[in-house]
Amino acid sequence: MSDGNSVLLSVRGLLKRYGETVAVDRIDFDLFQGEVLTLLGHSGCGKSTTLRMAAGLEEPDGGEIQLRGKIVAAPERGIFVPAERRNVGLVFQSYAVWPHMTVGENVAYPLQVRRLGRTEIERRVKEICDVVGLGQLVSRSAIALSGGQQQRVALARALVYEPDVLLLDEPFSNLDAKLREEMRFQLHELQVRLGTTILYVTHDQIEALSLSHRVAVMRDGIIEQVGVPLDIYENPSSYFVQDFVGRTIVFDGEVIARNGESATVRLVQAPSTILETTTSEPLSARVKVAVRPEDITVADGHVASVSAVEATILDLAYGGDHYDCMVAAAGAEVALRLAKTLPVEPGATLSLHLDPGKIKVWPS
Amino acid sequence: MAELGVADIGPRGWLGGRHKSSRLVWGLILLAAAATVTLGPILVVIDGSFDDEGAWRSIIYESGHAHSALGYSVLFAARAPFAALTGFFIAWLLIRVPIPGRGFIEFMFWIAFFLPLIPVTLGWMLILDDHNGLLNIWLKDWFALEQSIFEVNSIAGIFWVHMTASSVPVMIILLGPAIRQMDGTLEDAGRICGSGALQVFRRITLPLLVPALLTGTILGFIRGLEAFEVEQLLGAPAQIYVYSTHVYALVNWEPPRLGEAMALSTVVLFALLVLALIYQRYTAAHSYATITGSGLSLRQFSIGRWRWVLSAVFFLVIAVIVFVPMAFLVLGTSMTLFGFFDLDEPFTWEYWRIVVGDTNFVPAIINTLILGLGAAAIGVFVYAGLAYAIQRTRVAMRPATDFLVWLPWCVPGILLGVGLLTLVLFTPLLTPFYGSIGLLIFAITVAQLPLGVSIMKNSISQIGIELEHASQVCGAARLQTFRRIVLPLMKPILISVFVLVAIAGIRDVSTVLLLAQPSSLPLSVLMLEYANNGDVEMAACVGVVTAAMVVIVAIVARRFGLQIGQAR
Repeated sequence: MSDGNSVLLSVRGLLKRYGETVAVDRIDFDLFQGEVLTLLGHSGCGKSTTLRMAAGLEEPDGGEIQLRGKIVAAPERGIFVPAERRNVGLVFQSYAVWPHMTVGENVAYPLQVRRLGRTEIERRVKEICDVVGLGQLVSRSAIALSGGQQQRVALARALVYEPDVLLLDEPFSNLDAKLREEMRFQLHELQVRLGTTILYVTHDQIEALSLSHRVAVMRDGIIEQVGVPLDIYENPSSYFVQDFVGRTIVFDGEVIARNGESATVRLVQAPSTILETTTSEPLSARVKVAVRPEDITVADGHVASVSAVEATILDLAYGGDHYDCMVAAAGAEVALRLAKTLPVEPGATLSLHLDPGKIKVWPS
Repeated sequence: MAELGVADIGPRGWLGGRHKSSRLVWGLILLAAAATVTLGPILVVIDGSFDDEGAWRSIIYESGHAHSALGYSVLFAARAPFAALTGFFIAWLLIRVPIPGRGFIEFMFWIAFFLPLIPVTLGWMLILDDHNGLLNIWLKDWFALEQSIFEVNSIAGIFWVHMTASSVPVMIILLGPAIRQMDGTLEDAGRICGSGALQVFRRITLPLLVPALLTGTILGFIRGLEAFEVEQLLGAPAQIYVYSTHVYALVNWEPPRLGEAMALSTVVLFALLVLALIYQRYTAAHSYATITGSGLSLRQFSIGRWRWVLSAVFFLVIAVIVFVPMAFLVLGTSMTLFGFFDLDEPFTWEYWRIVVGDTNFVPAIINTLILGLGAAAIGVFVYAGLAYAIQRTRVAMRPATDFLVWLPWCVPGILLGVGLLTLVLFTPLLTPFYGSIGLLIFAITVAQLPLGVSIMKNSISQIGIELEHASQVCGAARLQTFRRIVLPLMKPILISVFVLVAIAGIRDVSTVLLLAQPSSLPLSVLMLEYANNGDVEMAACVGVVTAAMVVIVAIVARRFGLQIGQAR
């Protein structure tokens, strides 16, 4: 988040229905000047619909959207400003580069629509094409471009008129893994350089965590949690968020003792494993004990502490600098990455030490 | 970036299309326009049939002519299944077997379809006429026969000309895309499962394409019920009348029997409407066979040297259905007495001299050009706009507008002509249009409305909606997006539709027949008038000119890269 903290895009009680289904269920969020906010969620969680309503391509059924302090959508009051009058930029998942125009014509279009002078248009098109790395391709026909180049055209076209907010709808999902990573870094660099305010929609948690100032995790039309990436990952507010963002290993547990916020939880399938943790779940409640793989210390042989659980190796795959390993532990099958220093073979016994300070307990 | 001109919130533009009341207003305007144009002429006809008290009684109880006309119409229309099957097999062979010259062969079937029916029919009359038909004369000479073998003025003659000149070629054109778009992997899967080529054809290909075949059959039946030119030229002299020629006779009666014409038209209209609704239902429910593949995966069937035999057969077919009638037509314009090569001066330019000297001829050429190009130019933009409004905007009452736009599809040309004629004659405000070429352009534009709009809708549906949304987000309003993104992307289809409408305007007889006055006479009607007066040679001269115009348009269109054959 940059200076000033002025709100550029403000969403309040935003509602969208498609027939009986509620796609977006009265959500609120703010997007600050210079900020990158990511809406993260599975497909169908309402994130793209939210973005399209922010763009003005979709009319909300309730709530209010403000852009730069001006109401652009408020269905209850009959206000709706269409996309072409919002001055937002949008990069589509499919890029939507116009095939009947050259790269330069694609990028110049928004400026022509705004009736800028020819020299001004030329200058700005050249400038932005250089910025996104399209300098050589300005007169190339848009059909003759690779996916990555089309991506850049779409980005240049969305940036050239310096929109108030740049909306990105899964912009990298059609690129191959390597290019995606490259584009991610370039977008990050671009954002830092231009200070663009971005609302980003993706289902890819790595993109979300690495690009955003804040992440909003969405599920079934509501926002489960908003926070900085570190918070989302380290302090998820619900089991859904923990499970969706990053990898999570889950055991069945039971609360066997309580004292204020702290509680003692025993694994149901491995009664000798007892964890001192914090939860508000009542005594005797069945719970989910969730732990990140990196918070598990794997050791050779049988367990030596109460916070460890015994595991048997089911299957192994050689992964170069490590082993990918499937183990059975406390009634669950767990995928782990093991160091090559451990003596591993199918059937061998391991001890998984769970860091009691890092585990999370969720209602079952 | 406020200086870039994002408007503050204020009253939204009419064309924004998002405001609820603006959607309603635009929807009503479109609906009213469509209703006036397509429903108007029909209602005039239905209403008119009740004005004349005796009309219904006459066609129900008294007129054996009306009954026999309906009977013959159905009889002739029943060629549709045969045409569809024949067309299907020819199309399948042309697409799936690497026959040498198949591109040319397919193009010639397009030409066969585009050629105006009157010149082709005249050509066949010169060959197969009972008395003067050249083939009949030759056969009688060679085999010393007493009687002619062929009689073109007969049920069989009408069948023959229709099958070769329109029904089969149109089926090849219609069914081609369905065969092309079939997903080849469906057949490959059959082969993998252990079926031979024939079994795959019988158990997979054919069942998959049955919907297309049936659709083609219903369509052929509907078009068959509306047919006019061939029946007029060949049937009328032999007292064989169908619906459209009977209506033509009734209108030309002294005094005109408009009431009966309208009553008979009402009957046919409702029959066609029912058929057309069945067609629409059926196509909507059975589109699965054509929605999948790209056609690239279609496997070709190698048949070795037999492909040359097949090629020869097709070239022979083309020769018989296109070149022979055309050659005889040209010959017919230049012989003193057709078929008599042993006269002192067998060849003459006399008929051409008379035709060119006819004060109607040059104006008729101009009228035809204005009619074809005018209807095409107006049609392209009207159809594109309507298709876009129906397909992509959210204006009110689109389904009703869609239905009205489709309605002329089941209105026979002669009926539309009767309706428009009545409308113009009895509406004081419209009377100035009587006898103007504008009225003919209007009629053709309306008649081609369903085809044009459906092709455009299809084309628009293939333009990714995001291409438009991108434009909107960039700040362009609806109209600007339509003009700068949608229309340019539709360019190939716009050209296709332009060509189709232009050719329809040049070819059409039945729609414009009753509307044309001496001042607005096009070549097609001039040709029919010559033929009706027995001046076959002069009609043939005009026929050559008309056919040449159509062929030139088709060839130019192909030169411009137009993919004739992929239009639907």
